[in-house]
Amino acid sequence: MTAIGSLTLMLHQEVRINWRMMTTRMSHKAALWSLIGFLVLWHLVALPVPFLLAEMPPVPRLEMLAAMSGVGVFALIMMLPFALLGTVRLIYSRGDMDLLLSSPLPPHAIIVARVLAIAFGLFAMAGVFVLPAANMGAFGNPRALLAYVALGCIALTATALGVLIAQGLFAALGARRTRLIAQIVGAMMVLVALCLANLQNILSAPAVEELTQRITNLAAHVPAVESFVWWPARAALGEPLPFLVVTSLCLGLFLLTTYGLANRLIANAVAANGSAERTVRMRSSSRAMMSQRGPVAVTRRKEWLLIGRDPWLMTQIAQQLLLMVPTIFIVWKASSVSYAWLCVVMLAGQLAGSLAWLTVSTEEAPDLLVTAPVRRRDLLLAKLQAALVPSVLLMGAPLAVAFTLDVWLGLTITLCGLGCALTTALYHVCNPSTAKRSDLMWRGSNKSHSIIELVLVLAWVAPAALMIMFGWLGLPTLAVTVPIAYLLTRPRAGNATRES
Amino acid sequence: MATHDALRIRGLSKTFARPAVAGLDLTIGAGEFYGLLGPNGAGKTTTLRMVVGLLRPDAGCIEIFGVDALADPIAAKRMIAWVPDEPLLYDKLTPIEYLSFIAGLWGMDAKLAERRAQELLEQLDLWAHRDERCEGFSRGMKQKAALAGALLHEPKLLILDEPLTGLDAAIAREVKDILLDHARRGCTVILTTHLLDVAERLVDRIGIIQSGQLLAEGTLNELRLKSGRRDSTLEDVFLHLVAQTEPRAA
Repeated sequence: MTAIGSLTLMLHQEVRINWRMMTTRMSHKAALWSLIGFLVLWHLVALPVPFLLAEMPPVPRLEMLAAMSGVGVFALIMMLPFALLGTVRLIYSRGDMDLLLSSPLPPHAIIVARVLAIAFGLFAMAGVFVLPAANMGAFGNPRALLAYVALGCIALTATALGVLIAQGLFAALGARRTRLIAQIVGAMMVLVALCLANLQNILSAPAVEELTQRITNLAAHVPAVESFVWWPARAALGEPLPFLVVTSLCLGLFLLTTYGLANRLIANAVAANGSAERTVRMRSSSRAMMSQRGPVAVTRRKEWLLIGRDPWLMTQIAQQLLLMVPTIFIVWKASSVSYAWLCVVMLAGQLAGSLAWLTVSTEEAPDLLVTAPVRRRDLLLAKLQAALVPSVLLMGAPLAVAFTLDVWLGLTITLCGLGCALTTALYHVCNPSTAKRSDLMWRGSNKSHSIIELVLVLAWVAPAALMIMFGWLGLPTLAVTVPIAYLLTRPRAGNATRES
Repeated sequence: MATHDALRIRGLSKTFARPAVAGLDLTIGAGEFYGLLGPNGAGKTTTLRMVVGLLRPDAGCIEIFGVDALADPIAAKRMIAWVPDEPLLYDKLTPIEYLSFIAGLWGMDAKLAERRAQELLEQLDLWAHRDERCEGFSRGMKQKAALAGALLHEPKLLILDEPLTGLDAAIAREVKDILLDHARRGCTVILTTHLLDVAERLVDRIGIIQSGQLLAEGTLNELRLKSGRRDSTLEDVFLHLVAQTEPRAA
């Protein structure tokens, strides 16, 4: 098979696999119609774009270039963590790598196709939001279609940078640590990008004013329009020479990185697979565990050991919690410090929900537990405790601060935080499903899990907000929350339960 | 004191899309090494999963040493250990932590559990690996760790579903020796396997199951007589008996 033929075959395979992974939670038809529906809706939203562009007063060229460059850099920052995580997944995805590398396909074609799939994923992810506006804008100004090329260039550059960072991490940290560190770096990048996107909402009015002033002051030092700094923006505007140079550079960087590092990527994939089988020797904790009495105690401890020893899982949970940081700032700014405490309630619910889902739905040896002479309710109690204790401990410090600020605030957050943690954990305990740990983000294939968890969190945040607003007069709202929580946490038919 | 059979099954039935077990009657005496054989889909695993409490039967009763396993599952489970073909292990735990967990589940005395764990891990050549996480173990090592877990609480009835699948000759030999040793010490062992030469050498009595029903039962000699094939191997006898009753297409 020729190199082009191999690449085409691999690309086809990558697109098919990625599409199926994206649509695991719905049928192919439903996914396709959802995508079409979304694109149509987004085009409708973008209908006024040509009119807005026509009515827009002429913008000074330098300002236009600066704005376009800013958007480009922001898109690059947003794409970079996903490119990094995609590359790390490529290295660590054991699944079919052995099969592909043992096939007569050229290894470079396999790697290029996989990396290209990452770039295409980034392009599509941003494209579904941005390109409808470009399409509509093209009715008045056909050059708006250059957004396709610009976005493609940004996606290729982000992917190339992601590959370079992943390789750097691999060289510096080795196979075992790279995935964990990449997860952390990726999560931090997403957090920074989200904070940047919400900068205006996060900062106070004087701070925003000061920042604007500083940016204006910087304008005095901005390079002239002819500078090479603006070539990417000029390329996006369709100037022939910058367009040719910038697109060639982006493509060149991508090809150089991918082809140049293909052998390293293959070697790293092989090394990563070997490291998964490496022996991890623990300091003997046998005595500590032997001293635990009773099924509840040993099960609880077992759950903590399993969660604590899975760094990937810990970073996933931390990532979920970190993503709430911008929300805390926004609530803080939009209302007052008191309402920002509502985020503690949300955090408690989310953490307890994640841990409970992990302990109940991703049990590695369910048959062992069913065949043990232990009552099912004792096992579930142990799992509930394993989920709640860390959540409550994590709430301890913020609650202490809340109590020192205002006793009523402390009481409100304690009551609603505990209620939220208890009910979200209880929901998963009463409605177990079977899933893989890697499905933590979406709680397995059961869509209702995430939705019900969210409703439960909101059901506790609402009375907490009213109790902060109206004092003890807000207490009766709990009379609405408690029945809602009871109804939602009840065991439901249809959720996969294990026989016992 | 009345002595009970290790396992007594009457009229056991379970239907999924089609009947998997259909009114099965089976009695296994205390201290027996019993081999449950049958072609794929005959209902062996379903039967054993009902015995250990993993599946609830549609009809029938199961008694384990005189205890009604459906009415008092906890009491029955105290006497049983279950070893499926896929080891029931936690990858992130070390063997010693895994055994400690098992000891806790079965409510064993901590000192006794510690002593038994050391004995078993030494016997199974896992003592040197006691503080290594199971995720780095080979399949054979995992199966041995799972077997150690099953034997830790000294079950009266040990049930194994294809325990030798995927094991190399040396580890398979170790596992067989351990099973024979436990059977000699009075533990009742029920084993399903497709390795008929293994069954021929290990078990005292054989039950052949097909379409969820007991087709034939007895010692190897009794089965030879029944099939009319003297001096045949178990493989010949098994294939002959199964072929005789195999449902034929109309």
